[in-house]
Amino acid sequence: MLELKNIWVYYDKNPAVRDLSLTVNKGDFVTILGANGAGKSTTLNAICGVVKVKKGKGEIFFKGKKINGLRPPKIAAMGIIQVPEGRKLWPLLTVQENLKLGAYLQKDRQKMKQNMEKVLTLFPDLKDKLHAKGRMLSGGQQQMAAIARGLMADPEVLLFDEPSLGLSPLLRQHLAEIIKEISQHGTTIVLVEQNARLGLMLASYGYVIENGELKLQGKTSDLLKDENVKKAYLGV
Amino acid sequence: MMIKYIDWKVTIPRIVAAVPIAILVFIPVFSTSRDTLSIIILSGVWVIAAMGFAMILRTGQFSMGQAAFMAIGGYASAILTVKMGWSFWPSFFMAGVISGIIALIIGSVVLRVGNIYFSIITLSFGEIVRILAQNLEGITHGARGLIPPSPEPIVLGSFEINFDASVVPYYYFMILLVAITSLVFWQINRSRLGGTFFSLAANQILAEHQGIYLMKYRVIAFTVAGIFTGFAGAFYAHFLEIITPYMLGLWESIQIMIMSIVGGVSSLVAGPLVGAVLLKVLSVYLSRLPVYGIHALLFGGAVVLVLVFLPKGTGLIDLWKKFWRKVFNEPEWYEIPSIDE
Repeated sequence: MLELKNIWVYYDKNPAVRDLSLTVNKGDFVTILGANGAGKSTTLNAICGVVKVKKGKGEIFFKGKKINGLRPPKIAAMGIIQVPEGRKLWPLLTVQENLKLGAYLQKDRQKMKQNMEKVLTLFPDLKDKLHAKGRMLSGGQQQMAAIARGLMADPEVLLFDEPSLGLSPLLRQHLAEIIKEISQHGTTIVLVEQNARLGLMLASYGYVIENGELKLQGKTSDLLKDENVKKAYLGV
Repeated sequence: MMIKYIDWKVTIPRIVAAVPIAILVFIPVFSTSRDTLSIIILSGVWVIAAMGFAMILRTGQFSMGQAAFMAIGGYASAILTVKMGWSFWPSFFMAGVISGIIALIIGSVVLRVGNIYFSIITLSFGEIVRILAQNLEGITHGARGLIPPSPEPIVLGSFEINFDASVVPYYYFMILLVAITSLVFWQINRSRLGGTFFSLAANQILAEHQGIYLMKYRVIAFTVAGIFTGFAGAFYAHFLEIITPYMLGLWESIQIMIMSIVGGVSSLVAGPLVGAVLLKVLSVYLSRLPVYGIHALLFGGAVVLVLVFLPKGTGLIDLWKKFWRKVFNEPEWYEIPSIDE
C-alpha cells in the first residue's frame, strides 16, 4: 500500500536519508529502528510531505499514486496521519477541541460523533479530561490524547513518531497494548522507536536504519535473534 | 416543563456589560451634541478596523497595513459617488466588495511567505496605496483628496432620515455596522472556522498534519478583515466628507494594531471594541489639551503598560474576566501536574 522507492532526503547539502526503500502492505505493523539521528523521523516526515524528497531521487507511492511533492494536508486527506513526536497537542485548546481538530477531515458530523465515542472507549482516561486544556494533562495523558486525535481522522495508515519517549515503564506497557489494539482493528501502522525492544515486540516486520541507510530488514522474530541487532539495540 | 438553570456566574457579568452598551445605544436620547456623538461615531470606525486586525492575528499573522484597506474602501466609495455619479448605498456596498477583492488578491500572494515577511510586505503595501492615491491625479485628485457626499435621505412614509440635518442617523448607522461586524466575528470565533484559525497560529505543522491548508484559512481571515475594514473606511470618508492620501497611513495602521492589542486579542469582538473606544475617546479629549503630540504619548504609554502588566497576549478584556473570577471567588487557573507518572 505504501511504498518508498530509493528516496533521498537532504537538509541543505547533508543527506539525512540515503537511498531508502521500504514497503508497507495493508494491515501491516511495521517498525523502523535506529539510533538518534539515524533518519527515522525524517523518513516519517518525508512520507507526510513535511520534508521534501530530493527531486529526481526517489519516489513515494501510496495505493499506486505518487505522493511525494504533494502538500501535507493533501497527504493527510488521503489517509496518512502522523502522531508527531513529543506528544504535541494544542496546549491552549481543550482535549475535546484537540480531538475535533483531529477530525478536521471528517465532514460528516454523525460519523465524527461515532468516532469520538469509539476513541473514548479506547482511552477511557480522556473521558473526564475532555474539557481540560491540553497543557494541563500529564505526559502520558498527552500522548494518549495525541494518539486519540490521530485516530479521529479514521486514518488508513497511522505513523507513530517515538510514542514511548519519556514515559514510565508502566505507561509504556499500557501504550503498547493500545497500539496493538489499534493494529488489530485493521489500521496499518508504521512505528518509529528508539526503544528497539518495544518496537520489535509489537511489530511484525522491522527495518533498521543507520546513518540514513537501510542496514537490515526482516521479520521481527528474526531480528530479535539477530546478533548485530542484539548487540547494538537490545544491549544483550 | 423544563426548568432552565440560570448560571449567575455567567449572567451577572453579561448584565453588567450590557449596561454601558445600552447607554451607548441611547446616548442620542440624552444629548444630540454633534461633538460628543462624532467622537463615538469615529471610534466605531476604529473598532471595526481593530476587529479585522485581531482576526488576522488569530491566524498568527501580524498585518501592519490595515489602514490601507480603510483607504481603499474610502477611495472606492468616494470615486464611485463623486466620479461615477453612483448614489451612496450601492457605492458603500461596493467599497466593502472592492476592498475584499483586493485583500483576496494581495493575501493569496503575500500570505505565502507569512510571519515577519508578511508584516513587512503589508507595511509597504500601505505605503504603496498612499503613493498611488497621491499620484493618480486623474482619479483621486492627488493630495487635495475627494469630497464624497453624505448619504441620501431615507424616506419611510412621512418620516425622513436625513443625514445632513444631524449626526444621529450616522450614529445609528455606525451602531448597526459595529453590531453586524461583531455578530459576524463572534460567530466565526465560536464556529469551527475560529478553532481552525487558532490551531494554525498555535502550531502550523501540527495543523497541516491534520489536513488543514494554511493558505486557505489565512486568506479567508485576511479577506473577511479586508471586507469589513473597507466598510469602515467608506463610512469614515463619507462621515468626514473628505478623503486624502494622508488620512490613512502608517500611523493609523499602528493605531489599529495598538487598539486591538491593548483591548486584548483573546476575544475577537470585546477586546478590540474596548481598546478602540477607550483609546480613541481618550486621545480625542487629550489632543485638546495644549500639549503637542499628547495623544501619541497615550498610545505609546498604553502599549507599554499593557505589555508590562498584562503580558502573554492578554489585554484589558482579560482584566474583566479576572475581576469576575475574584468576585465569585473562583480559584485561579493553576496548573497542577498530576502524579500518575
